[in-house]
Amino acid sequence: MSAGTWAYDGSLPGLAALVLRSLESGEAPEAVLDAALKRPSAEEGWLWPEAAARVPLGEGALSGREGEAALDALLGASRRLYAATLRAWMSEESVETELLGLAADFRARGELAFADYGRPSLRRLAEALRRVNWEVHKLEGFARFSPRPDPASGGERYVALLEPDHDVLPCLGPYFLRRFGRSPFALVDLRRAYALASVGEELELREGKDLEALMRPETEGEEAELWRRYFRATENPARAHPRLQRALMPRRYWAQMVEMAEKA
Amino acid sequence: MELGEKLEILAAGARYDASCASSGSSRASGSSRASGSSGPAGLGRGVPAGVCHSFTGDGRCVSLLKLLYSNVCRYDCAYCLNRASSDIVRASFSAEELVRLTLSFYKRNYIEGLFLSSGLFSDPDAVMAKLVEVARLLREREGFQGYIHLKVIPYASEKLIQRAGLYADRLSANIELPTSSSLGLLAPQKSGREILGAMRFIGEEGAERREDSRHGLKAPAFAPAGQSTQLIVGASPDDDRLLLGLAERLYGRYGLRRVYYSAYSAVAADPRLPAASAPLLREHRLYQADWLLRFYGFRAEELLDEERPNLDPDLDPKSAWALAHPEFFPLELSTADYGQLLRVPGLGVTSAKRILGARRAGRLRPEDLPRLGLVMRRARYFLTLYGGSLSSVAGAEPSRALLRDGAGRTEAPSWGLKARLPGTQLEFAFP
Repeated sequence: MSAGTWAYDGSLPGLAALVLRSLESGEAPEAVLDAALKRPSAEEGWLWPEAAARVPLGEGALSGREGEAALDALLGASRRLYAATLRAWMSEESVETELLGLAADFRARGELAFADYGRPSLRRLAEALRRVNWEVHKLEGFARFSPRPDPASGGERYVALLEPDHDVLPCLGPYFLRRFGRSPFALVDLRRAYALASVGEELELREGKDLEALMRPETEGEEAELWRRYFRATENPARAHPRLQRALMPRRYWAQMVEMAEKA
Repeated sequence: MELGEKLEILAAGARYDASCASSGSSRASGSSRASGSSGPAGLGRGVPAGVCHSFTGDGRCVSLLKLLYSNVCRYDCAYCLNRASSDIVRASFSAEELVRLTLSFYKRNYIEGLFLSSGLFSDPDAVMAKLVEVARLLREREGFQGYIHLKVIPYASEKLIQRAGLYADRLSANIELPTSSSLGLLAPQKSGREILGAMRFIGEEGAERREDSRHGLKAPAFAPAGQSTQLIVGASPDDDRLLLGLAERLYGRYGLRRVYYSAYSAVAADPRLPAASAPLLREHRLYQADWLLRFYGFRAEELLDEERPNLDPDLDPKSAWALAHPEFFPLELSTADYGQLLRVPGLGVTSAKRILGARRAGRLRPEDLPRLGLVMRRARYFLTLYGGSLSSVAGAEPSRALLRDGAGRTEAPSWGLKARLPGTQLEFAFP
């Protein structure tokens, strides 16, 4: 690994710290290593050797107060850069290098850095982030909730099961928090085996046994069947355009959608 | 009749109303509704841009629970599935059923809210009052903050329309047919003047409230998402020039947010109506032209005139305009302003904004252009970059053949309509 490689622990504050570093120094590395994906080793010439020593897999080098400080600093420096960092972190594609290139360019040129579509690295980043945004926007619409018993609160919790292409729950959580008001709800990411559950006005992470507790069978009710009947009744066979329907609502979402599940 | 069957009947009855696609509203969540909300903690909130929760088999966005309160109707409009003389099964909801459906579907994230219309099962005020009651229960008793779109029943009193605007995000009254002659033939019980009067009232109410709040007076918002309407295309011989001209006036003078164009679907065998459904392509061209009016700075008279009163089926309206106006081109990409860029075929709003940004950031190269979103297959004949032509065939003139596969036309396109109603000027007097 060359000296032009930076590393971070895979956490959002960790990535924010790298972005701040690029922002302040005007430099960007040739490659970025996400330590959560690979265990670091002493021979590999890290830029931050102390970080490598402190990071066991899965734990953050920046946690708690330090992490929050890094995020606040980035938000203060540039809202757009913060938003880009959040989406780059959520993305399953590796675009950290392009993100740091943008940060370095931002120091030199400010907002113009976001407009320079002549640069291939900016285009790659923009396209990857657009895919993350698309996933968030689609799931805001396609997430389907069903009420399940919630022994902890003694009532019901509305739970949605999702299989997102990117790690988008951190964006969906606040959206549904505003939508549900005080009704408890939860978003379950089946692919990454974790959930965000609302507790009052906060979101909590649920894993393992707590995650299983969220996925108890649905409360009986006719609402799902009523929705299916409604959806079928709005069909207009004279204007059928299945290709357009699949382009706007790809098949991979159908398994978790009440009205499409039978065709998935 | 059980709820599921009613739901199917009254959903099918509502599906020909296209005037409901969006669900975006600027109404602040938690804002005080009329006479103070004492309901439970609010459920839901308005979002600035609409959310599509699903898509139908023809690719239409499903955002709202779109229903008729009742499909019993006294009127006998020739083009309507629910007209009095049709022998379909009739049904009606109760207000409680609608409230329950809306809330449970909203919590499950099936919908952003409710779109409610109705047949005329009683006199207009009685019908309108029922619709307003459903909205009132949702807002005041249930604390519902999601989207509500109410239809304005023709001839309903202004007092009721006022109340509707306090609870609804959007109101709409469908014009359906663009001239008083076609309306008189196909829907004689409706009055174009009446519908326009209601639209003007809604526009003025909204404007008054916004003016009041600008002056610091506390006034609840009136239909913050504005109003929309629908025009049926192809049920009458009215040409595209009439339709587009009317749409332009509605946007300009009445402040409408959206006009929807619905291709006539031949459901009824009636001598007053065409035997065949209108081509969907015509609806598509009208939407393209509508976008040009709203976002691209075109005027209706630039797109259509007396000699060519219908949109070209083979070309999108912007390409057709560009071909007819060679004096405007070629445009120099490095210096053209936003309005000029929007006139280029294959160059949309997104590409134009990106060009402006990329221009400030550095020198543009021809190979960058497709990545900025330009459709070079069309745009290259109309642009130069730093003086150099962009079309691969040097100095090639754009022509119909180059812009679109399709046989050349000699006569003006007509969508196959032969008969013309007498007096084809717009006959509504816009006060």
